[in-house]
Amino acid sequence: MTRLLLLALVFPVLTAWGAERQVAILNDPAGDDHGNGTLVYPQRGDFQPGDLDLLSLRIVRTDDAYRFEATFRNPIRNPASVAGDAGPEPLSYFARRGFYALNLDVYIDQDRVKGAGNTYTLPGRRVSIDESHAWEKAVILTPRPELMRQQLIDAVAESEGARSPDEVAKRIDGSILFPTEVRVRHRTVSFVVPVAFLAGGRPDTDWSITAFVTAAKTSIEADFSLSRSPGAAIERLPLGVMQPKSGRPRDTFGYSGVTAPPPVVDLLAPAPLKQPELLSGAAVLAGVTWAASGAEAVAGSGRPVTSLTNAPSPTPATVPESSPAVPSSTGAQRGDIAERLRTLNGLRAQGLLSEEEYRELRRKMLSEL
Amino acid sequence: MKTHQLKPLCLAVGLTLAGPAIAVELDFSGSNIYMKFLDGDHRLQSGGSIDTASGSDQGQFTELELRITARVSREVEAGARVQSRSSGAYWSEFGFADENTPIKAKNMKLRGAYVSLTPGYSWLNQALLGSSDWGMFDPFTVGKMRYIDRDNINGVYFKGPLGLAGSSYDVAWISLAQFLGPNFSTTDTPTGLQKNDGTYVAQFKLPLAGARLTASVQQTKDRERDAADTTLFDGQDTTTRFKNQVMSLRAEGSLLDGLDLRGAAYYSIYEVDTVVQTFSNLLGADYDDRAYLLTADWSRTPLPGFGIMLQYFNIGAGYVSAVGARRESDVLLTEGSESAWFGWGDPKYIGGQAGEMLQVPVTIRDNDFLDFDETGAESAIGWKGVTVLLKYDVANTPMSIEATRIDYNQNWQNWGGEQNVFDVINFGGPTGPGFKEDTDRKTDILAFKVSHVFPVAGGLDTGFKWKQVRDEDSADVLTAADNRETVDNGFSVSVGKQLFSHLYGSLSYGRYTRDITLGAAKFENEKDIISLRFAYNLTGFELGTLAQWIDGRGDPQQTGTQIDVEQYRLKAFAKVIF
Repeated sequence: MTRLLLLALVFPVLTAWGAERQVAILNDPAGDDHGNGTLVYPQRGDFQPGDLDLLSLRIVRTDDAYRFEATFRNPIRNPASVAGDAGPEPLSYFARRGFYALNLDVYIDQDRVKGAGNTYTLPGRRVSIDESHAWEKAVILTPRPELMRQQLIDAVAESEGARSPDEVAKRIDGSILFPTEVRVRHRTVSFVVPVAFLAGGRPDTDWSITAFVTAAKTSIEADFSLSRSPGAAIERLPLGVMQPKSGRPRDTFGYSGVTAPPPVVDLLAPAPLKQPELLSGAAVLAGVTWAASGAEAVAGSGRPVTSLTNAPSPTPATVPESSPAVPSSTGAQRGDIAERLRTLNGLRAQGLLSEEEYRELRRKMLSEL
Repeated sequence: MKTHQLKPLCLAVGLTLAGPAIAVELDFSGSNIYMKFLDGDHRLQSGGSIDTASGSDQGQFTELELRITARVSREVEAGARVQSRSSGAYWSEFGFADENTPIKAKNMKLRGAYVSLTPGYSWLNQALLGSSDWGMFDPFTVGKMRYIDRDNINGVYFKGPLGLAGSSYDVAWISLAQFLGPNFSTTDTPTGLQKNDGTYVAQFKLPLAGARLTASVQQTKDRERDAADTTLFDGQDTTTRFKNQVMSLRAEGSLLDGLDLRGAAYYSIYEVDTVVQTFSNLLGADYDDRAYLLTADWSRTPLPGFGIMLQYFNIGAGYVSAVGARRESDVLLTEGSESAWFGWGDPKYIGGQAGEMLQVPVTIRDNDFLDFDETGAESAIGWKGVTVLLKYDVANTPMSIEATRIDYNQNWQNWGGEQNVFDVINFGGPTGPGFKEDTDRKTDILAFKVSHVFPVAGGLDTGFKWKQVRDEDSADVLTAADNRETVDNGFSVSVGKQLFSHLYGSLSYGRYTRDITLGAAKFENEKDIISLRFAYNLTGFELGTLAQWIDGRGDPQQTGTQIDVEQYRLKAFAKVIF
């Protein structure tokens, strides 16, 4: 039996030799898992700095698929050995892919045409992407891909009213993939993206990628609050992303600033100082490109073009104008700013802002309209 | 969403105190209703636990849990968990005397409360007062608490940065659970002094030349009143009933891209000053011992998709951390023993456990009140050996082979001359540390796993696993009659599919044999296990089920007579999280 096992092991290894091509390896500095510089990890013991610290993203092309390999500073936490928030059952009942603590968003600009493509990101991320890196395809690694996909479809269908969920699903599946073939090895999680999904555009040696890590919610709560948050379903949807709260809370990320930063914990940005700049203020995210050899990554310009809302690109390439993951642009902007103004008023009422600070921040917000 | 601004309340409080009003944010996230349904043909009563961790195979349970987090200010957070208890185990239990039984009345109970302070000092990130699951330490030192106890252990905890970039400290005093002393107790008298028993622990993390170092030191102390001190007007002295010190040093780093090394060394000192009975969780006399782990993980070899892991482990038979992890931690790379034979010999466990085994660094692994779908825990105390794990991924088909050889530090004759130390932990059966007078044991584990997703019908997850565990013990080396060999062989095949976006289902079949040779006697056992699992998921709602049908033939109690064995068991649980 042992010989058979060894044969079974050796044969495919020999046949597999040389069947892969490395498209790119994109490195990211260690120790930058603090978002815009103000994010702090949850204070509970099973979340440690380094868990969401992306060190590299490697892209490999095989015959029929691309394999993305994301390596983190700490070992990937295993849901099979962690009980859920309620009951003794392990998280792996529902997070079956061997990880549970993180989401990794990868937005791919395949045509490299400025302004062609989408600049929004999925709900719950609260960042947008520079039009120079407007994307055509998005790959969202998340512990519960089927549920997240369905949540997105439902929210878009609700926001759009009359559209049927099937039609929405078709559109989403054409441009957004939630991988289900996932492997975890110690500090690396790899996931498979079929070549068919990434077909079209320029050769893979000339893509641009905007990628970032957010913390995943371990339980997906219903919204049973008595006072429902304002805005459309899609605007309220965290889509599996842990949202930061002021201070240093125990069960979610905290922050030390006045206004909540985006929940992006680590942005793939080869220039070490780029990340805080891109994740603060009204900046937008820039992607990274690589040379034809796929050896070296280059940071994008990160030139601000719009505010931190889920605004659609001026000329969506893959997703139609009434895009699934995007509320109407002005509605989203107004809703966001209205919410921020309410927060600002609350802070002033609590005596946490001086009148001068209040007026300055209010003026800045209104100038974004 | 879940946040309510209690401005009127704050205003009232503020006016009362004549101070500034601060809005308190109340957050109920994570509150839930949990229901569990157990069915089986062994008609077992609840195992005596007072909550849904029943250990039975019959009943229906409902629990309500309220989680409250109050953001008092940017620097202060307070939280509590309140939960109903539900050992009644059937839904229609009501009325008459039972209503007067607090447990059966499903009373709410405070499970844990904490205050978290984050004042923003440069040297302090957080101070925590109250309950925690203590998952921030190494399982060889201070273990994460089991989920049912996650808020039951209180303490005081501080963490913050040290001077060097990337370095940090964790310091805590943790109250000692009443059963974690010798003889499963922290006192010998009903009026004994227990309230201040606890563990002091300090942990330091330090980056050094590309590696990360973690060092810790801790002391657990169980104190009693000094009966010899009868002059109480100047206070009363104390004596030490037992004391346990643990020191650890861990290092990890990467030699090359994709080649990681991790090493850990632990040293324990155990001193006891009470008479230890023959049923104890801790040793019978003073003892010092060590534990070592060395792991190499070469995940990115020149051969695409191929990786190799090696682990050397050596855990002393007398290694003691009284507050080490009892479950919910898996400290070794090996899969360990075959979980399908967990509890064999007990009619409750015809099918063993459905989850794989965990290896824990204490004698008292916690397997009480388990449901059959959970993992079992086995003590790795005394284990020494090597695990080789080969992994590779070809054509989107990940596979692995594990080979492990375990020898034992408790391989001794006549207790190795230290009967007074070890002849007190004689409970627990195969998952225990296995201390006995004469041992000459080794265990070999071989396991092969492969999985593949076939692109048909929207994706078909398939898996195959084969595992062999050969355990030999010559016991008294001068006697052949007590030689024991146990050979477990088993394989399973599974197929699963996302039936639609909310529902995942899988079906598996496993066949297992256990052949035992004891002296000249042979005992053969075999069984088939068919498992059907579903996981249904809506936003805010989770429903999971596992049903198993076990059918076989064997001699579970080693009487010399073969009998038929059968078991049907089902568990379903539902959670609404809000």
